[in-house]
Amino acid sequence: MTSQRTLNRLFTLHSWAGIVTGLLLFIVCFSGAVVVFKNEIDLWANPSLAKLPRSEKPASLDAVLTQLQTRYPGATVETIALPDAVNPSYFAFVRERGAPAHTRTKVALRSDTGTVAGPVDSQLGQYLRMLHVFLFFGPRWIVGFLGVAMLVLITTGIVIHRKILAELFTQRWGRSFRVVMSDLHKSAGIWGLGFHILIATTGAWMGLAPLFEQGYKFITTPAAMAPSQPVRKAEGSEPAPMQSLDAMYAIAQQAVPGLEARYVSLRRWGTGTAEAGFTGNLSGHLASTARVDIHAVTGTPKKVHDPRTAGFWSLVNSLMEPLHFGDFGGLALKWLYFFLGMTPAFLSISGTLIWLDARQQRRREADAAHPASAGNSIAAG
Amino acid sequence: MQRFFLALHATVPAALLVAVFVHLWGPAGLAPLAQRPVWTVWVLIAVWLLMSALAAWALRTLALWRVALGSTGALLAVAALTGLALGSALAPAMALGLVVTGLACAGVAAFMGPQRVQQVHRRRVSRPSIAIIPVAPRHVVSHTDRHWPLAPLAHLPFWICAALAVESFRLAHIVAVEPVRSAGMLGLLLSFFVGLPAATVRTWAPRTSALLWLLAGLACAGLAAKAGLQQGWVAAMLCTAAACSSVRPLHHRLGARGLGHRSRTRHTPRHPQPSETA
Repeated sequence: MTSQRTLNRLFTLHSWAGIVTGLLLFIVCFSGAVVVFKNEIDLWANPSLAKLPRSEKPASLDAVLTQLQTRYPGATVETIALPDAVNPSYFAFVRERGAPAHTRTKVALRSDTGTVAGPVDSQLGQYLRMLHVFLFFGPRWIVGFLGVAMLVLITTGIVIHRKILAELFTQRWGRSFRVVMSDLHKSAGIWGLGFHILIATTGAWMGLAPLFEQGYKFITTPAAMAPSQPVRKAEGSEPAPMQSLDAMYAIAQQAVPGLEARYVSLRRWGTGTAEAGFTGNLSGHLASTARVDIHAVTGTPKKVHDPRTAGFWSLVNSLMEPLHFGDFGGLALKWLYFFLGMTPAFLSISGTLIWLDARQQRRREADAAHPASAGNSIAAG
Repeated sequence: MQRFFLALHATVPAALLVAVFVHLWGPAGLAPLAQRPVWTVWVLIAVWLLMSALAAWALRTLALWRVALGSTGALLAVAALTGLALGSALAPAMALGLVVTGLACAGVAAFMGPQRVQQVHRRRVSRPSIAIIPVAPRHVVSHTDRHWPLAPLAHLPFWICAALAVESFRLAHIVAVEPVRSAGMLGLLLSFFVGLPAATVRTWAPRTSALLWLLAGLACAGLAAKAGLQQGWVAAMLCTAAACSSVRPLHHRLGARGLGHRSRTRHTPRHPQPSETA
C-alpha cells in the first residue's frame, strides 16, 4: 500500500512534470492526431493533383527516372516515392542545379505514363509531420524525451488515481470547476490508458533509439577503432552505366520476399559507386523498415535488412512506426487513432487548468490568511 | 501571463488552420512550397504568438476558450469549403471530416460555460460540509525556500542537469564530429535519465539522489576518458558536487534529530485534488 506521503510526492511529480512539458506535449499530441491523415492531407492540399489518374499498372521506375532527367537536366534525383493506397501519383525529390545544398523540390509525376506533372502545390501533410516529429527545428530525440515524460505522467497518474474503475464512469457536472475538470481529466486518462501507453512508448522508442544505438556503439568500440568521419573517395566518381531500376527492384524483392517499396533513394547516381536503396513495407506483415541497398553498376545487393529475420530488436523497431501512426488498418483505424490521439492533448490542457486553479486557490487562501500583506500587494500592483 | 500561457494552448488549432490556408494559397514572391521552405514555419510561429497575445489581452479565460474553439470550428468549415471550391482530391470526404470536427469544436464552445460548474464561494457559503481537501498555503519550511542570492543555489542540481544537457547537445549536433558526437548523445541520455531524476528526488530521497549523481559523475568521467573531452571532467566534478549537496541536508536533519529536535518537514497534505465526496 502506497503511503500518503509517497502519494503526495508522486502527485507533486505528476503536477510539475505535467506543467513543465504540458504545452509541448499538447502541441505534439494535437499535431500527432492530425498527422494520422498525413497522406490524405497532402493529397487534399494539392488541387493540381486531383486530375491525375490512378493507374492499375504504374509506369516503370526507369520511365519515371528518364522523364525526370529529361525535364530537369543536370538536376540530381534523390528519391522517388511510389504510388500507394492514398496517393495515385509518383513523387520525386529533386535537387535542382544551382539550388542551395538543403533545398529539394518535390515533383509529381503521372502514374500511368511517368510524365512529369510539375512541382507540387504544397507539402502540408509533411509540414504537419515535421511539427509532430521534429517540432520543425529540433532533432527527433526531443519528442522522444517527451514520450518518456508522458510515460512518467501516465505511471504517476495511475498510482495517484487508484480508483480506476470508479473513475471510468465518474463525471460530476455542476460541481466546482476543479471537480468537473478533474473528473474529465481522470476519465479521459483512464479510457485512453492503453493507447496513451502505446503512443508514449513507441514515440519514446523512435525518438531515443538512435541515441541509445549510437551510444552503445561508442561504448563497445575500442577507442583506437572509434569511427572517424567518412573520407570521400575520389575513385569511382567517374561516369558509369547504371543497371535498370526495375531490374534492381526485382532483385530487392528477391532478397526480401514480399517487399513493397515506398521509396527508392538514389545515391551518387551515374558514377561507379552509385547505389539504389529500396525502402518499404512487407506484404502481410506490419513491419515498416525493410530495406535493400543495391550496387547500381553491378546490380548486386550490398545491404539487406529484413526485419523478420534480423533479430528480435530489429523486429520490434520495425513495428514502432506503424503502431505509432496507425497506418495499417485503413480509414476506420485512422479515425480511431485521431480521436484517441486527441485525448492526451486534452489531458495536457485539463491538467494545466487544474494546476492553475489549485494555484489560484492557494493564493486566495494565503491572501485570506494574510489580508494586510495582500492589501499591500494589491496597492503596490 | 497566465492567460497568455492558456492562450498558447487554445490558439494552436486556429494557428495551424491559418498555416493550412497559407499552404492552399502560397504567396507569390517567396520560395515555392514544393521546396518545403522555412518561411512557412516562421509564419506559423508568428501567427500563433500573435493570436495568443491578442487573445490573452482581449479576452477573459472562459471567453478565450470559447472564442478559440468557435474560431477553430469556423476556420475548419472555411477550409472544407475551400477544398471543395478548389476541386481538391478527396474534397467531399475531407469536407465532411472537417465540418464534423468543426461542429464538435463549436459544440464544445457552446457547451462549456459557467452553468457547468459552481462558483467556489457560493458553494462554500451554501454547503460548507462538501469541501475540497484543504490546500496548505505554501509556507512550508524547506531548504529550497531561500531568497536571493541563495535561491538559485537551491536549484543548482537542475542547473547542472541543464548545463550538461546543453553542452551535450552542442557536442552532438553542433560540433558533430566523432567521437565527440557519440559522447554528446550519451551525455544527453545521462542528463535526462540520471541527472534529471537525481535533481528531482533530491528533497525526497537524498541518498538516492546522491547515488544517482555519483553514477552520473562516473559516467561523465568515463566519457571524458574515452572521448578525450575536458568538459567531461568538469561535468564529473559538478555531478560530484551535486551529490555532496544532496546529502548535506540529510546530515543537517540527522544532526538536528541527534540534538533532540523534531524536524519540521512538509508532511502537510498538499494534495490539491478534490476529494471523492466533493
